[in-house]
Amino acid sequence: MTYKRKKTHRGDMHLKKNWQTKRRTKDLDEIDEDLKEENARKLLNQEVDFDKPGAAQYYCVHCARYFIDKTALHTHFNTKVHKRRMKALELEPYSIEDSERAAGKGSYITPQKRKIETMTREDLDINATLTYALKRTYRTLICDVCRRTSLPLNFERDYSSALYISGNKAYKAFAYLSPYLDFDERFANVENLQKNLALRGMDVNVVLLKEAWDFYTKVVADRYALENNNKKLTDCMKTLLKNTEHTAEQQQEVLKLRTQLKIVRQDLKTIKEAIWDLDEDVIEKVLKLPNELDPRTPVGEPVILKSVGNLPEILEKKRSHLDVGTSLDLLEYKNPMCYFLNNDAALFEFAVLAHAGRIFSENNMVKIVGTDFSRSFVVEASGLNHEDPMATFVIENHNEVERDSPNRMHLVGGASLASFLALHTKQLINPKNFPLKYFATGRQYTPSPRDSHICGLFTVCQASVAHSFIVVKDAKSEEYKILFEELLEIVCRLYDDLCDHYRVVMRPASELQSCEEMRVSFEMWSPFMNRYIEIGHVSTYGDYFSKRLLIAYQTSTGREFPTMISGTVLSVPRLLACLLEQNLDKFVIPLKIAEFIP
Amino acid sequence: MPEPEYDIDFVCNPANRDIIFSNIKSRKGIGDIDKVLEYSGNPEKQELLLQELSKIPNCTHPAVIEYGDEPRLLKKCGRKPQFDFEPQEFAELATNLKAIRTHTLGPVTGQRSYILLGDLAELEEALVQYTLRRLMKHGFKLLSVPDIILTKIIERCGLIVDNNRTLVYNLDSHYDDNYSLSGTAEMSLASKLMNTIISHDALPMKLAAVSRCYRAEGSGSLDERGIYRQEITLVHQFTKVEMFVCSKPNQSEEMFQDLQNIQEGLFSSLGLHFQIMDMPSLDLGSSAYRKCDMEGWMPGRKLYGELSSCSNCTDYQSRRLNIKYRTKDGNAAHVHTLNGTACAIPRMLIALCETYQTKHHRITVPNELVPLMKGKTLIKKQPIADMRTYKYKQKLNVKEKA
Repeated sequence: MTYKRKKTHRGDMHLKKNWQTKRRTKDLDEIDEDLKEENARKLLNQEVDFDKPGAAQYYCVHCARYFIDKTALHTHFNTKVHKRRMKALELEPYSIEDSERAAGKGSYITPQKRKIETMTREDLDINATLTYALKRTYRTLICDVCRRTSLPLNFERDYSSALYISGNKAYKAFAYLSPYLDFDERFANVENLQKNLALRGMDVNVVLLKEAWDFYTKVVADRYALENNNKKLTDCMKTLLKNTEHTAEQQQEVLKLRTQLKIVRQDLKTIKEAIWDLDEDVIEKVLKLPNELDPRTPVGEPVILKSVGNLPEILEKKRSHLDVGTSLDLLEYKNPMCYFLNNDAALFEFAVLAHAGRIFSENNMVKIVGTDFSRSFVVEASGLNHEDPMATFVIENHNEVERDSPNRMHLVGGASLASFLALHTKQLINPKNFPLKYFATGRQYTPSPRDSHICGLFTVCQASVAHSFIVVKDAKSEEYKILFEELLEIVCRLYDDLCDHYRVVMRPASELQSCEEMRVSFEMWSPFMNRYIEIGHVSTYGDYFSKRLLIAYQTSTGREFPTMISGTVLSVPRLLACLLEQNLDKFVIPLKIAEFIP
Repeated sequence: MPEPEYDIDFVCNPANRDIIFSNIKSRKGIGDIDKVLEYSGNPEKQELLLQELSKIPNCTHPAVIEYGDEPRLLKKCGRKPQFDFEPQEFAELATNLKAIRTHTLGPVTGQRSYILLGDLAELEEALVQYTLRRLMKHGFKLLSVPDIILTKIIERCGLIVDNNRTLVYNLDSHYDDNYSLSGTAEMSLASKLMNTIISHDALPMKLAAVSRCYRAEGSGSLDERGIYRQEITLVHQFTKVEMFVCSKPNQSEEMFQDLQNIQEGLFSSLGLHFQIMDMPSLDLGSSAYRKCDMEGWMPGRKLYGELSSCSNCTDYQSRRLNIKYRTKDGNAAHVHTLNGTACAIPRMLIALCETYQTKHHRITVPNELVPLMKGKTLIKKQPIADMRTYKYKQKLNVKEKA
């Protein structure tokens, strides 16, 4: 027989206090009722009652508490108790209907989260009634938009853009520029966009995104209207106040204007805040939309544009380039982050870039030595996820990066797209100087993706490369196509000097990066891997970057965004690897390259 | 990573306490010999002992100790160029020629960033090529080395990674190990030789590497930024050709002189005026036994600026990275390591451009470099597109919808 444990009522004072109804405070669902506008107004404007603290003039609706004066009330707003209560109120209270649904009448509805803001008497002042109503409608609308857009895109919640910094984050990160948003044009042809996304294999619900964008523009339009209104009223006020003497009628007028101005300014503030919230939800998502597709980009399979030379005979012995390189004392490979080139391989690396430089400068391209670092907003603008440490190397302790700023510093390398974009960011280019043709030879740093297969020099993180960059005025012009073809030819000339067999392949839409319109890659054969490996590529980007980074040129009617062609035309470690695998006995430096050996 | 083999017999001998103490004092004051002695007898405090031992700096060359706090001038080479006009500073000269861009790069790529354009970029390549050619003649072997290396290697090379002042850029902790950006190719070269035993007839082993160098130093305080805003010598990223030598201990002094001669020959052949300074103990890094700086004359700013330096690290690095050689009688002993800058691009460009500027504010290419510049003899205004800052705030076109 078991006995009941004794002393079951020790230490339960806090429970008893909770149960007692002597000084029972309001429950959350009651408070929820109080938050309704008409009830809230009553509670905030109570009759003077000397039995209550502060004569019932300083009441916190959310906590159902009276305070003795205004200071006490406002200090309370900053306390944890109040904030915790605000949080608790976010969730819709359980209702009779809920319980009925639970019992089988109807089906379950998930309780919604709402945004609760501290309410004060001033908020609910008669003048501000409109503001409050406005705020509520925007809040509910935002909730709606958020819920619907966040589902299809499925982005992380704490994502913060470094390229587009919304007003409420400006204190954290300095916004050097705000990108040009052309989504009206993009959304004008939804079908086209949908097709583009489908071809690229991206799963985004364009219709919902378009709705979100339309809603955003509508709110912005409201804001402009309010701004205009504000300006008009201010002007009226100014003219009225110019005269020092006023008739009774004029004074009446001034008072009226003042009230109106007050309302308009309140509204403006509210709408601004609403836009900030929208910025985070809508703009950041639309900025992730991919570039348009070039009509030349193939749909399913890659298209071989050109194939030079013949596939070398299939060797009986297949050895990986690591094996060959190590046995010839050309290579010491430790991991993707660390490898050394010795003897001829080191000389080859230097000479091949010098040779590439010579070919480019013979074709009137200007050499530059770029910067190796780049801020997050440039990285984001170049179509990479700047928050992913596997997309670019992130510097942890750069002294110019403010704490918690989304705009961090990345190591990209001097011969990289970001480095060229940095040169032109927020620049107005003289239209007479077009087309701009640049190249760089140097380092490029890319982390190796987490789950990728590591295969020697093909996936190293630090590589010496040659990179080209061309800016053309108009995407629709013939010049754009001609220059692209020209660049392909130049690169082909370079490859002719390097190897006997290579091919030029146009990549299908599904293999493109989101910033690319079209990509043509130069491939060499790797006997060990038994497949072609991309050694370099040239891509067209349209005005994707120039709109995002405000790169423009002046025209007679205004400003236009130029279009860009760029690409890492040659990656030395990959080239070296293919050459090593193709000749197992010794490494022969191609004749044309040997000239440049120091 | 090898276990460091410190010179325990010397450091932990109480008889040497005073010598080591005064050495530490005359240098930057990092390290505490008394703690070392305290822990050395105590096997339980082995870890603490190792930590303290790692902080003890290298010994100092006896000749250097006498200098006090001032560097000693060893030699002056070449002559100051004479101008019949007021020579310009590099930044002004190159910016006007549109050969460099520094303006408004700060918010995009960080303070003191620069982009070399056109001929100045070609000049960089020519300088590297020229330097390498000379080095190969002196028996150097070119290597290609990584720029991102393990933080531990940097520590072992004698650069104390201090938390308060960032000298080295670290990468985010997301990558498997702790990685940092190398400040000089010396570290990568040393890491290549880590845990090796070199045969005695391969010594002296002379290695050279071209690499990008990243330095976080010199931007701690705000006023510094102000003064050096236009200063290209204090940049955070640059290309450098580095020399690295492993030698037998008894040859290291001789090699040190050799490295200096190579540097001297290199700068003299380019027609620069410079002075060779033997640096006092106060300016030595913890790894250096002796260090010589070459200070080039920069006519535009009318002062000598450091062009390159060359240090003898004796066995400081080889003990920490386990680099040994096999002596004739078959024993393994630590090598001595030496390193020197053959060509640090930004400083070299400043010295060259300021020395070779013409009356019309152009730059003559030094004779030696002409063949490497495709026969170009004069750097004129570069055909770079004109650009200016584009201030624009988009007003969304919403009228038709409103």
